[in-house]
Amino acid sequence: METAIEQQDPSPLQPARRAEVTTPREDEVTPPGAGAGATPLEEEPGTAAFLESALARAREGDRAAFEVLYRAHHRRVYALALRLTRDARRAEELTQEVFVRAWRALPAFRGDSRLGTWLHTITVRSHLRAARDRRRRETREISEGAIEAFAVAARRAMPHTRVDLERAVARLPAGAREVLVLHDIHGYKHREIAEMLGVAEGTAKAQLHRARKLVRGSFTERGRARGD
Amino acid sequence: MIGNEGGTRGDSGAAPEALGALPREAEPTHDLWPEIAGRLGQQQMVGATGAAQGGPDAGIRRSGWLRAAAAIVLFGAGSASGFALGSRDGARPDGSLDEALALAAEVQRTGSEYIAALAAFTAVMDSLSSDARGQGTDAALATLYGAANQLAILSAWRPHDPPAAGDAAPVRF
Repeated sequence: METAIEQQDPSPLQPARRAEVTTPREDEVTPPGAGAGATPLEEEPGTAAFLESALARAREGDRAAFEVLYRAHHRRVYALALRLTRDARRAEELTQEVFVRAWRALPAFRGDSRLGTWLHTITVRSHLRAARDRRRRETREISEGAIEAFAVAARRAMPHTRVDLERAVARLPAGAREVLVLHDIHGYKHREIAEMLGVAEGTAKAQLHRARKLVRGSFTERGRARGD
Repeated sequence: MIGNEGGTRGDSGAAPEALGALPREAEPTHDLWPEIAGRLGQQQMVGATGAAQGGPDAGIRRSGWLRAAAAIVLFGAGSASGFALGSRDGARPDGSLDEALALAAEVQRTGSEYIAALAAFTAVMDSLSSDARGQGTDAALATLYGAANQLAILSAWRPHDPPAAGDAAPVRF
């Protein structure tokens, strides 16, 4: 069973990669340059052209244009940050950090990857850096209390999620969790994950295998406890 | 069944397709933009005063590793000059104090440039490709290695100078 799952990689079970650029809510977006006498964007708000134009403006230092990009991408960044940190407050701090770093590095963004992927790369690397620093002070194990707090935060932030699965993923050890979240939930390929995490592709595959086994194991245990 | 606790499902609930159906977007507890905008504003103010970090217009258009490499060359040149002066002073104890001070200042300036370049590189590192990160790190390490070796030579030249002798143990990377 596990082997079958592994052999399907890249998994056809994965839903098609969702659009990288999320359409911002109408009430959230102020067209870049709308204030301060600058020329507003001509493109239709919410369209890909509008966001491309916003990206070009943001690269030139237009903060209003950068806000458009933030409005379009922050939910995807926050979802990943929440699953990586397993803590709502840290996830919000991480999301802020990602956009601050992105603003700083935007002129160096060459467009080789999509903006959403680039922001997720910054999210993962910033998380790993922070986690490395924290591990010097904190234990690596997450308490059941923290898992429950995460479950509450996940339900609030993602009302349609399956909290049992979120819990099982949150219990995974570091390394395995990142790979599973990026591959199975956010739909990245092993090559992309290896680049984000700075590991070999083979390592990412091995971690995914381990993670799936652990998640499946946690459900098996629960089934046994229920007497299934 | 999405949206419940999944309590009635068996092991199939943990299959990859179930994970793939989990949401990829989440709503923070509050709007994070005002805090982000505040931090960007602070950065721009810092950038305007000449610090290494700032917004897109604050001088990070050149990639971080190139800046690091440029600073490294300067630092290497400063170190070499300092060493040359040191050698010359050995042969001519009454060498120009002004020249020595000027070279020392040059070493200090390029050292500061090196550190600033490293800080700028670190600031953008998360956004760079593996290749660019590797090149930048290699360049930074090569310079540090070169500088450490120069310091080791200096310590050998002045074995009774406690700071130099103590700090310049053989360097291995």
